[in-house]
Amino acid sequence: MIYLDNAATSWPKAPGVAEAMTAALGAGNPGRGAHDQALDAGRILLRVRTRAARLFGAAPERVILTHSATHGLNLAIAGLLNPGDHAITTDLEHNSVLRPLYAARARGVELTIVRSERGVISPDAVAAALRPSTRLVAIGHASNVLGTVQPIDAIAQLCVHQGIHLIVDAAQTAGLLPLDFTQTPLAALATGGHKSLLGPAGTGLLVLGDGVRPRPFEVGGTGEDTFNESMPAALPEALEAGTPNVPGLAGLAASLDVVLSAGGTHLARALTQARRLRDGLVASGRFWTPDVDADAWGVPVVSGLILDAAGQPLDVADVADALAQRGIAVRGGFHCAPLVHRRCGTEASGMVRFSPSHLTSHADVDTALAAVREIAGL
Amino acid sequence: MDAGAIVVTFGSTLDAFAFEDAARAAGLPGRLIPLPTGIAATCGLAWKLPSGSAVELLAAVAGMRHEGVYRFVDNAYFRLDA
Repeated sequence: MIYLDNAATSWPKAPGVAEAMTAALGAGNPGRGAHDQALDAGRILLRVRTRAARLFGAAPERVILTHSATHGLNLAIAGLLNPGDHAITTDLEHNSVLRPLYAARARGVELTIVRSERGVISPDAVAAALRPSTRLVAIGHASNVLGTVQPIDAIAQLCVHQGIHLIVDAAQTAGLLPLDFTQTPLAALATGGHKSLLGPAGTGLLVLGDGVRPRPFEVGGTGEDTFNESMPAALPEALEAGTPNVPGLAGLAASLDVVLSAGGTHLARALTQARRLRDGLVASGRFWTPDVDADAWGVPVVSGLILDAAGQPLDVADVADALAQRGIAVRGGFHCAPLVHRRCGTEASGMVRFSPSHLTSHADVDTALAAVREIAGL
Repeated sequence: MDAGAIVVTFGSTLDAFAFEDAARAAGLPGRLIPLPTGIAATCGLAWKLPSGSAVELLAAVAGMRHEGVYRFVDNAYFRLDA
């Protein structure tokens, strides 16, 4: 199989992930008891937190273990907004950002959606949307459809000077692009563990900035402070109710070791193949892709439409299926990002998305390009 | 609990495991145990130093993040760092 759907989830997972997960099936419930199995589980959680803390420049107690980027975004958005607050987001967002904000709007939060230009959100556009009641800005680090990277540093400076929380959805960038709390004043960063962090599905991280304290999204057992009717006061357990996904987190700890060792080299390798793929598709004359700012394109995502001889787009589902039948995994559809498609005029068609990784080879790209040409009738 | 044992308590489960990491790195003896109900009637973890541990070890404990330090004497826990 040629796997070009890493923006959905990475494949294969990092070396050592499966072994760590299998071993962790023998672990107990972390923080619930002090026998060997329970302690082993607690040590696994510590490994994840310390590695994530190193990756993002945060203290381990500010690394909240979640089951997905969506979970972390819900926690941060619901936990920081109150009725009457104003929130800002963008038309580039995934539903993991949009739907929690729509839910907040239904509870009395005012919402402004800033319009992108060629796949980029201008800090000036965010500044223009600010109100005295603005409490939060939520934005993706990179678009999961267009591959454009947003000027987070500039937006963070804008927010921090006005006392506004900036929440970053790093689902498409964590493990590829650096984002460090010691350099960029973020309120929160959410990511899943299963994309470019190369860990298993069902894991995620919410990293909080100093002093940022969302209300718990879920409440329940924590293994401590039993008679307290509320969640315990101390982070991270204050935001982690219930038994965690210990085998998944063991896998994530192993994959974080790989990502930290790679030192940022995964992005360059993936982008090299993404560029070859994009250039080859464009050169075929049978590919339409949205016009985006070339300087902002910075993660290995290439999306667009495959055209027939008459220049008409082929059904993206048919293209994705035809590629799957040739052993090539891509995603055709809307990628949970409805406003991007409205902005690009593809709300009726969707797009085919190719997302290579650091493991994608020249030969993989050449085979995919040949398959696309064949499907396009060339 | 062994008479004379020293027990270190924590503000969070994470702190307990971080302490274990730091203790191992520093060569501090002991292990994680269930938080004794004689210290607090709740669930949690604590670090138990062996009975007869030298008081000098408390200086090492003081340098690591924790909540309280207790000695078990006459069937009761007495806080050493209050």
